[in-house]
Amino acid sequence: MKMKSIKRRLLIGLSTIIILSTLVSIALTYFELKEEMDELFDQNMAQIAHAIAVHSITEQSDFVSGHHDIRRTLKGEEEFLIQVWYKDHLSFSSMPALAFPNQGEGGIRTVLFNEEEWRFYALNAGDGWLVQVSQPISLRHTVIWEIYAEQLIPTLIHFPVLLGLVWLVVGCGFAPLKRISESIEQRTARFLEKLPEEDAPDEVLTMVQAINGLLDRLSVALDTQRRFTADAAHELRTPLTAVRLELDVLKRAENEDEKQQSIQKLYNAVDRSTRVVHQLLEMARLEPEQAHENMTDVSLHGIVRNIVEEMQQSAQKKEIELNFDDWDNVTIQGRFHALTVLIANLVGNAIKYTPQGGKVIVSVFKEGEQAILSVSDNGPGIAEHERLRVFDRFYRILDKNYSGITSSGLGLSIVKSIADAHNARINILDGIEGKGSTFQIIFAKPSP
Amino acid sequence: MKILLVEDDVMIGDSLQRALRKSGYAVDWLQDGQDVALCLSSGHYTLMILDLGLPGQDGFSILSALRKTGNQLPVLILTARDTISDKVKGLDSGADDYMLKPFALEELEARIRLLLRRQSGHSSSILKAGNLSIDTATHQVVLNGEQYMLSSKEFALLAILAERPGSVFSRAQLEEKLYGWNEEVGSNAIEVYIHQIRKRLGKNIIKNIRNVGYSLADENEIN
Repeated sequence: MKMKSIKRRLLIGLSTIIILSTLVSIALTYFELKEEMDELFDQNMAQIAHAIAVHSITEQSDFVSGHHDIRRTLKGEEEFLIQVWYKDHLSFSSMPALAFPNQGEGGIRTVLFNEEEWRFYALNAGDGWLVQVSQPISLRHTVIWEIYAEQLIPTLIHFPVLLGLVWLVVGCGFAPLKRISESIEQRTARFLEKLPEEDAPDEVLTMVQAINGLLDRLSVALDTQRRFTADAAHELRTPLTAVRLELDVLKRAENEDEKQQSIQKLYNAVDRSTRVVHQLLEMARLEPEQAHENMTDVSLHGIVRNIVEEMQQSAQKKEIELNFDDWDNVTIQGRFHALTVLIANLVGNAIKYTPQGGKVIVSVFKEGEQAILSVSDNGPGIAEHERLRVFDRFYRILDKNYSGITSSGLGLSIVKSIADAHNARINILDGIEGKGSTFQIIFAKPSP
Repeated sequence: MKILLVEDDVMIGDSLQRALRKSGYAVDWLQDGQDVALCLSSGHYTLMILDLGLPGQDGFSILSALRKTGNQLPVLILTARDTISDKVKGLDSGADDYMLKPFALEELEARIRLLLRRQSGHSSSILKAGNLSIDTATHQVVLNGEQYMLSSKEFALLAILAERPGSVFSRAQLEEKLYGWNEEVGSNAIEVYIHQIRKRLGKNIIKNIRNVGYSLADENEIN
């Protein structure tokens, strides 16, 4: 299983290290202790042997008979079996009942006796005297274990305390992470405040900063969305007010003329509401579509030709001459659907605002690296100071030349958003023969 | 009774102007905030209906500027801005009423009548002079217990006179109060209306003071 928690990984790793190192130190302690104790006991045996050899041996004395100890085992680690031989004749034994044999040689060694390991020290005292001090090793082990156990207790207490401390320190180390994740958890669509960066540890600071950046962008996006919804609601309220008001007027109509006038106004008002809804939907649809539709080679000239054909009829209704100056067959990297919406909006606007008998010219051409789409008319034009504002959502030009033309105020804002998504610039220039206006969409780099 | 309507939306402005004119109000309609001050200084308005989101100058600043000059003209804000803060700001800036779009025409007119009443110091929609009573809400005219129907212009003219009994209004003053811009005023329209009113309510109802103008008859002369 993959371990996902850094904290758990750290805790398990550190605990393992602590457990292993404790075990190793326990083992080392044991062996060291055993070695030292062995040495100590061996020295003891040697000292005893030497002491006996120097002080106690008198000529031909016989100790054995004077001893009546009938035990067969030693009392404890402090007791040794002491035996003295004179010319292979056992002359003394501290425990005559225990017949540990004469090993014959000098020095210190371990042998098997009665299926038990015995340690002995034999000292050749000269003149046929041999002093042998011996002890079963198991006795030594008992005492080693006793001492060892005493030493082990602090280690065993120390061990859980250490583990606890590790747990605590690791926990503390991860506390800021926990705080950060808690404060992320508090964030909602309505609460997108930045995370505090000052108490973020260096290791996660970049992550916190990245999250803050995301929160920022999210909040801007949500604000835009909220503003759009509010604007949209406001924008729908206006045509609905007109409908409602005109209905009131209709109710009071006193003759057929007034009635017909009101009904006509009602149609206009409803059409206007429909147009606003349509454009709002288009706008709402456009954004996700722009995100999904991939850039492909799109023939600008093909789209324009289709739209000019489609709009020919509405142009003719107003006796507007709608022409397509087909200079170059320009292909750009773009999104077909979005570009169709853009061009239809520009051409539609030109027809809408150009008075009866006017002129609209659409052209597509290359200028160096750039592909340019241009829509010109000889309508009322757009004053210099309004040329920047016309792209704002719901902005409408207020001019007597524009009165009577209803608009949702969204068309150019849609154009702008599509142009932005294509990295295209928009220029508003004067229109045909110094009258009206020209919208130029300048696409940076046409594909070859 | 002349109303200055400041509304940038063509459809709403047009419908409202027609509706109010039909109810007997003279209506001047402005689509831009910038011209309001100029208009107010030249015209004699009894009420202003003000939209807030206007090109040129927004409603709040128009209102504040108006109140700063000490102008007491009743102002009704008619807007789509429905937040409490907008309402509070509107009323605090000196509006007498605040109405939200969409609205019912009847309610708007009732509020207009209320503001006009308050302005002239009356507390109900009924104006009384002797045996004559005029209901500005229902356009009912009752004289000596008998009901009369008048056209909207006739009614408006009678109401102007009845609102300030004893005051004399010149023909120009009456025209100014009765007509908005672009409304054709016949050269002797006022005389025609007065003739009609006298025909229905009796010759004595309106006094003609030669070379000065017209006024409602004294209370004891109305019968």
